[in-house]
Amino acid sequence: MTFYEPPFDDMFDGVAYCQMIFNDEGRPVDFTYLQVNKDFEKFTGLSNVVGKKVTEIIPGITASNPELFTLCSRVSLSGQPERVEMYIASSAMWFLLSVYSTKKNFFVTVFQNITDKKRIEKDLEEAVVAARNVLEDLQIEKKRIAEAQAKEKAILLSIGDGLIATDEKGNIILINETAEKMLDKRGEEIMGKLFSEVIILTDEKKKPISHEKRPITLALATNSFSPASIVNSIYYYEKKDKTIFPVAIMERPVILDGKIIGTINIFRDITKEKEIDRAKSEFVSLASHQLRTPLTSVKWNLEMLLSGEDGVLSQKQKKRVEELYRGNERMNEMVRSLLNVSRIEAGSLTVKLKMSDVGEIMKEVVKEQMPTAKEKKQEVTVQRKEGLPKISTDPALVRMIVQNLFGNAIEYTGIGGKIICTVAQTGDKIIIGIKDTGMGIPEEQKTKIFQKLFRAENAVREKPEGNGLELYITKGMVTALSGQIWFESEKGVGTTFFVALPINK
Amino acid sequence: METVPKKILIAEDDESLRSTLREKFTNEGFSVLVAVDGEEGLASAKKEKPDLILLDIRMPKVDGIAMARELKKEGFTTPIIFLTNLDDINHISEAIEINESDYLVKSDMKLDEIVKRAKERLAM
Repeated sequence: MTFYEPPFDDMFDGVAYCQMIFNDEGRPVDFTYLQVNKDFEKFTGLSNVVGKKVTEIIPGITASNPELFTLCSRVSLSGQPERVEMYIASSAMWFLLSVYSTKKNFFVTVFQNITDKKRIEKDLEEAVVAARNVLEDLQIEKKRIAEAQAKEKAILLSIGDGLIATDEKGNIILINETAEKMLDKRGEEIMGKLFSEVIILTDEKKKPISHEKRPITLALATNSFSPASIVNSIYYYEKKDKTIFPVAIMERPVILDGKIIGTINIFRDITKEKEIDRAKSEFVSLASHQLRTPLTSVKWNLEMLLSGEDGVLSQKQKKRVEELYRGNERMNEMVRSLLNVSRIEAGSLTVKLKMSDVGEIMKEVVKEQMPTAKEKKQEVTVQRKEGLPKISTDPALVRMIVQNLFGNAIEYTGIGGKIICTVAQTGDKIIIGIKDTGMGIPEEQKTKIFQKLFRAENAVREKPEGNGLELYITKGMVTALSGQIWFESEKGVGTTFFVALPINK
Repeated sequence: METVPKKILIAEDDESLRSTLREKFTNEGFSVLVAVDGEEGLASAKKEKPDLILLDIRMPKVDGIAMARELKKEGFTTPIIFLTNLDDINHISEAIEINESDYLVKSDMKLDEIVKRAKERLAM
C-alpha cells in the first residue's frame, strides 16, 4: 500500500488501515490493523497494534461499540465513505471517525480526538440547561412575588378601616373599599388627584380644615427620622352628599430609605363612640343630680335644726345633729369626688382655658381655707414671686388642685405645724409648691400615692374617714392641664407636693 | 316705716328642697312665691314680676335654662340665681351667659349662704 505511504505518517489525524474479519455467518466481528501512523498512537495511546486484532487490543470493544463493526464492514463492502462521532467507552474518548474503502473488506479510518470539543459542548449544554433552570426559577419567583404583592394589596384593601394612601405630593394612589363606602366616592373618581382637594375635612360645624392644618400636610412635613402618627378625634370627613361624620384619623408618612415617599391615612367612623360618650356624660350628669338632691335636702334640713329656727335644741341634741351634718357632708364630698373620677376616666373633664394668675388663685384658696388651719394653730406662709406671667390654663381646675393639696397639707399636719405655699417660675413652667411639716409618706408606699382609693397606712390610722380619691383626682386634673405632679416626703418630717403647669406663649 | 318685703320666686321641682327654701326665705322676711316646674315658673314670673328668681335647671315641662331664655326674650330683666346640682361646665357656661346670672351648686351651699347671695344680688 505504498500509495498511502508518503503522507501517511505525517498526517495530523490518526490514520489506520485495516482488514475486516467476518464470522461463519458473514457478520463483521473484528478487524485487523494492517498499518497505522504516528498520531494513531498519540491519539489512542495504543502501541504495537499492527498485525493485531482490535478485540485483542481493546477488550470489550465488541460489547461497548458494536456499531463500529457494522460501520466499518458497511463501508468496506460498499465503498461509500462515512463519517461519525463515536465514544469509545473503554478508552473514555470521543472520536470523529471518517471511514473510506478502496478495496472490498479493507478500509481506512481517519480519526480526530474530539474529547475536548465534546467536553466543551457538554459543558455548554449543561450551562444552557442551568441557565434555563435559573430562568424558570426566576419566573416562578416573579410569579410568587406578584402573588405576594397582590395578597398584600388585598390585605391592605380589605382593612375594615378606611385607608387612603398618597404619593409624596399628596396625590391619591390607593383607596380601599371601606373608604370608598364611608366617603361615598368611587376610587376612579379620585385616584391620582390631590387628597386635600377631593376629600374635605371639616370641624364639628362643617367648617373646612385649612390645607396647612390637615393631618396629611403635617405628615408630609414630618421629620423623616421620627415618623409621628397623627391621631385626632375632632375631625369630620365630608361625604359626597355634603353630610359629615366624625372620624378618628391615623396619618403617617411612608418612609423608604429615610425619605418620605408618601402618606398613609387610616380612618374610622366614630359616630357610635361619640354617641356612647354623650350618653356616658349624660349619665354622669344625671347621677350627680339624683344623688345630690336627697343629700341637699338632708343638709338644709339639718341646718334649719341647728339654726334654732324650729326651736332651740338641747346641747346633746345639737351635738347629735352636728354629727349628722358632718356625716352628710362627707357623703356630699364623696359624690363630688366620684363625679370627678368618672369625668376624668370618661375623658369628659372639661378644660376651659383662660389667662390665669396662678399666684392669685393660690392666695384666694389659702384665704378660704385659713379658718381650718387656724383651728389647728398652723402657721401658713404664701411666697409668690413678683411679676410671674399669667398662663393659659383652666382656673377652676387649678383652684381645685390647690384646694386639694392645701387641704391635704392642713389635714395631715398636726397642731402648730407649718405650711409654706410657693408659686415660682422655672423655665417655661409655673411651679406650685405646698410644703408641710406633717406625718409624711412612708417610703414603701410612695409609688402608690396617686393610685385610686389608695391611702398610706399612717394616713388611715390618723384620718380613717378619708376616701383615697383626692390625689388620684388631683393628678387627673394636672394631667388634663398638660402639667406634672410629684412630691418629696420624709416620714415624720413632712411632705412637699409640686405641680408644674406649662406657660403657653 | 316698714319697707315692702322683696318678692322672690323659687322654681324647684323637688318638694323637700322647695319647702325648705320657702321656709328659710320666709323666715328671712322675703315674700316667697314657688313654682313646681318651668311652665309654672314662667307664668308666675310674668304675672308677679318678682325681684329675684331662684331657678333650678332640671325641671319638668320647661327646664330652667329655657325658662330664663324665654324671659330674656320677652324683655324681662329679673335677676336670676341658678340653684342646681348640675355642675358640669357646659351647663354652667350656658346658664351664666343669660343675663349674667349667678350659678350655685345646691349641695355645696348652706341655706345661710344662699340667702346672703340673694341679698347681695338685691343690694340689701
